[in-house]
Amino acid sequence: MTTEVQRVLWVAAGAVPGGLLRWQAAILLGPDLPPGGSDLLVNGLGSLLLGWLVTRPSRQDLQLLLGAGFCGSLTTFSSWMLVTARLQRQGFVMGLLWLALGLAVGLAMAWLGQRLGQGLGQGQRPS
Amino acid sequence: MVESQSLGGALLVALGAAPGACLRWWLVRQWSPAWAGRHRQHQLPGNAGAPWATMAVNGMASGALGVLAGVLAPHPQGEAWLWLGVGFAGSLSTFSTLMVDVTLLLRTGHRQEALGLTGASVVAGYGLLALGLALGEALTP
Repeated sequence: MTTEVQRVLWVAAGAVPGGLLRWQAAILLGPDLPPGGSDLLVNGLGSLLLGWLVTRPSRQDLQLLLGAGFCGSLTTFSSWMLVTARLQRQGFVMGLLWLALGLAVGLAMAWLGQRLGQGLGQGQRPS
Repeated sequence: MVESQSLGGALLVALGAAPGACLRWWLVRQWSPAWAGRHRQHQLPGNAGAPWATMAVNGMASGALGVLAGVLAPHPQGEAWLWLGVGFAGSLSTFSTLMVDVTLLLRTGHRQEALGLTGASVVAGYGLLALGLALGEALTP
């Protein structure tokens, strides 16, 4: 049996590398990308990984470490909203386009992750 | 100003990310029962109530990030931003869970629920962020 404290530690252990990777992506790739570009990238990557993860039957501690911890912290919703709000000040359509782009990338990657996890060509319904 | 690749910067992000993610996980578990009944009634996939609890936490994190961005507007890349913005608020909110929840709803034919969850997340997140940003800017002399 995993205790409550152990669960929290699994989440924290995944959250630290997830957050650091998102930060490093912003530092290393940010200057070459438009504002929010590195967040879009890590959000897509995290959605792909979590999509794959939810199709895998695995131990609860691994789900906490990789799912709630790593993927949860690697991806961010609040920064996406912040960039949207800043773009909105430049023009209403810009903000909407940014929202739509984030959604399209995220949904496509989450869907792809689930397909990969179930094996391509198998049934449509999630297990 | 923190050196961009310094150990100190990494420590600040880590010190924000760990409590942020733990708080998200804990709040989602606390708040899920509030939506669980409706979730089961409509026979939706995934953990009962969790998608809407995640929406609430994402909204909260967006509001917090808005306040912080407003207050820190004069010096946006400082230590407080790394710790509370990138680390804490960044990890308190999550994008991947929302995307997986929405695709699960779509794949099981719950289009209206998927649209509702997406719309509510964006409206709550954007609304609270804009509110926080205005508040933060007003608080800054």
